[in-house]
Amino acid sequence: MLYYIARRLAVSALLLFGVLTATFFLIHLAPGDPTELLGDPRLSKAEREQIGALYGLDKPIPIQYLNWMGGVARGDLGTSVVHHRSATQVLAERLPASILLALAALFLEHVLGLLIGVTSTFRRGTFLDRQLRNLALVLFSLPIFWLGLVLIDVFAVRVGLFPINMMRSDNAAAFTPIGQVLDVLHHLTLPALTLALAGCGGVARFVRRGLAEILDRDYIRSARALGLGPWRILWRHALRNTLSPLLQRLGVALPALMSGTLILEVIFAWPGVGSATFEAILQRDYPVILASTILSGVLAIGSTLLVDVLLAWVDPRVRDAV
Amino acid sequence: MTRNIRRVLLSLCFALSLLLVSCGSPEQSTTSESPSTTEVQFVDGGTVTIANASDIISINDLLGQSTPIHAFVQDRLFFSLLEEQPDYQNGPATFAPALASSYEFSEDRKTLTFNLRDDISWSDGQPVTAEDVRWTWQAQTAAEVGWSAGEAKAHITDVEVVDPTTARFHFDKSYSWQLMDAVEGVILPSHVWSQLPFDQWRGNADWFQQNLVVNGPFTLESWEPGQRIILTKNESYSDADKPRVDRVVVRIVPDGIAQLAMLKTGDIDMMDWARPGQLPELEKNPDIELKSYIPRTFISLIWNTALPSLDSAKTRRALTMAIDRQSIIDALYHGYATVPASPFMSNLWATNKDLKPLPYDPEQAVALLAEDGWQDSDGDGVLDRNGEPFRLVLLNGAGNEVRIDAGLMIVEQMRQIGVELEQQVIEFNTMITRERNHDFDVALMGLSIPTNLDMSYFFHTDHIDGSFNFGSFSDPEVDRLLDEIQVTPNLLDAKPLFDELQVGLQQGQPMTFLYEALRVLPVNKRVQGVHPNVLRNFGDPKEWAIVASSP
Repeated sequence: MLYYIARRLAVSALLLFGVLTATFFLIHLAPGDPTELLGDPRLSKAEREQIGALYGLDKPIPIQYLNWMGGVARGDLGTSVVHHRSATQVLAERLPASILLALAALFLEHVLGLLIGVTSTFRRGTFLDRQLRNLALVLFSLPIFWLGLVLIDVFAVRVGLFPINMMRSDNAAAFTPIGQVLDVLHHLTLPALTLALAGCGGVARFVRRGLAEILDRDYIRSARALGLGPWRILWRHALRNTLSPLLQRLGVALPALMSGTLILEVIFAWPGVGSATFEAILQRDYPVILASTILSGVLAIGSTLLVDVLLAWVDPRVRDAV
Repeated sequence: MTRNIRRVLLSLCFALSLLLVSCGSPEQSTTSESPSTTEVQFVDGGTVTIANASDIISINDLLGQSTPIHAFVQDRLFFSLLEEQPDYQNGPATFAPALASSYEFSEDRKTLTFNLRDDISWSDGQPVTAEDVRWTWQAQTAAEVGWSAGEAKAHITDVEVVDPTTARFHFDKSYSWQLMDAVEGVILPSHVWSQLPFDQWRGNADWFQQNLVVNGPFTLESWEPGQRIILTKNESYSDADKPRVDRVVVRIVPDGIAQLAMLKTGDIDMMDWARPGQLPELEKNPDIELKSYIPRTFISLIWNTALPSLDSAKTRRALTMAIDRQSIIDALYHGYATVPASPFMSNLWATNKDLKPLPYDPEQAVALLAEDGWQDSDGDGVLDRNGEPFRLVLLNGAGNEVRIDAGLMIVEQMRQIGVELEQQVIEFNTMITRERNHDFDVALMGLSIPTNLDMSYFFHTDHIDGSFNFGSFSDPEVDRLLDEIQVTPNLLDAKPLFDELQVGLQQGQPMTFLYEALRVLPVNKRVQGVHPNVLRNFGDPKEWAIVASSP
């Protein structure tokens, strides 16, 4: 198992290196640099170049690359050209919000997806099954920004049940610690629900397909013949075997959620990594873009690695294959 | 928008009201519904919450970006030497005393002496002195700091501390906007912030927040990046005109639709601005008052005059005359815009009021193009000359739907006179880069007039390389006028030159000045005293007050 993990880590590191190198050259080759957006017309070309030199932008791109890679090796991801702080710090203060939103959405998405998928499978071929499959397809196809706006309009503007946006109330600092947690959860509900609704259709379809296939297998027929009840068969024998591929899907879903919440962060004014990265791209804030790439890469590689290890641990066939 | 917003050139509500009466804008009826200050009672204190699409990036003026929200926060926390007034209607802006009670030029105008007030202190009790003024200038001009508005100090050779309340600026030459340049930027606390060497400023933006002392009407209670900025009344503020509200919360809300929802539910008292498509709905809301002003941004089509097809002024005038600008305004701006004759705003003292916009006249446009040799010789519906069809690509920035729609309308109007225009919507940074490299045919964009009215950056031959003369426009007469304006000691004396300049720009038509759009600030009526203007897009929070009966 250790050899398996070590081999996966080595491959992951190589992959990350490749992604970072490609990203570095791509963003530097894109038109414009951070000084282009210094909009004061009085700023001459020479002055813009002088400001660029403060961040090493006057050096040839290969030299910039080597300097940056050297910094990465020392744990220094560079200084944000826009925020004048370390790129790590810029993202670190946004990361908790992103993780919280992603985990909450992932949890809700899978609870809802499982409920729909299981019910649909359990009632295969019925009117309810068809309607649930249609619902899953509709949710899967809905544009996330539209869904977010609808939820805001209904639950925040019309009903007034949840705040429209932000992560905390303006006066949250005066709340008790429990009050602060509840305040964040109150603000979290709508964005997490939006993400979850958009994603649960996919989970439901995935669960239904997997479950339907398992329910047709011989050992399930044997269980039925032995007189086991349908719910007992479902929970004890069928669903457990569906969880394995679902777990694999989870490994991809988490990093995708982390990087895919950009529009939602804008609509809900959620202070996450997605919006910070988007702003960095628009402003050609190279260190923040690259730090964000590292973060996404580590998350994607780390979570798939974690899932693979978990799978190897729970499934002897995978472990034996290693 | 650039950092120097506070020294802009425009005027405000009074002149605007007059303008709106004359042009029948809906703004007049909405403001008249507002309760007058003599009829209502106000509470002492309270919180006003506003939404803004972007955040600040530093609490230090010299590390911040040139955005209105940066200027808004800086002006709450710190004094400038003088406070520029939004009185641009009849002459150049005047300056009210702020940190300096008075100023005086030497006879040769090469030295400018400021007499500082002796009753203003930093929030830690230390007095504000001429040493702060000198050190701030050193920081503003330090290469390691790289202040983006540092060019304003290019002709200041020294700032001398005559005594603790007297600072003297020395210039290397006399020119029109010396006073503006001298007072550009807020004065920073040297006794605290000088502890961090200039070469460590970039990379340590947080340090300034941790070591913040202020002298303005508000202080910083908290700043959560990407979420909110909370300003509270500075209890040590010594000026007589203390703010009435206790607290100002700026929520960072990038999405305009979300801002509108928050305004409707009372979550916020003001949006940063009303997007044109939101205006009809906002007009009907009885709780909302719409305050508007003419910003210093001029929206234009920039012609690349270096292209053979666009190197003739007659051709460019013809293209302008082929665009029905009023129809674009009617369709997209709901009456909140007018057709301009020049880049100068209609209520600005320097505007040539006798100059009329080129008319919409497609027939005349076709005739002018024919004089320049453009004809549809092969009958394919597209004009051609020497076998070359009249085809252009219009660059437009992604994200601004109104401008993209305007671009589509222009494409269609051009098609009707036989000019084939194709709109290309690209990311803004890429667009700027292509414009700086003159790698474009036509570009639709908004540009901000510098506060000193120096239009050289857009139209002078010297600014073709690396500056804002994207269209490579070059006209010796326009260059001469721009040069003369710059060396006229009293800018008001340059009015005839400004008039001539605008005539020259209309003749040369380096750009088609598309429309002058009002900037509309929607405000919940519970907050009164909000007077937005080109210098302060939320008005002055010291004047804000909350109506007593409001929740």
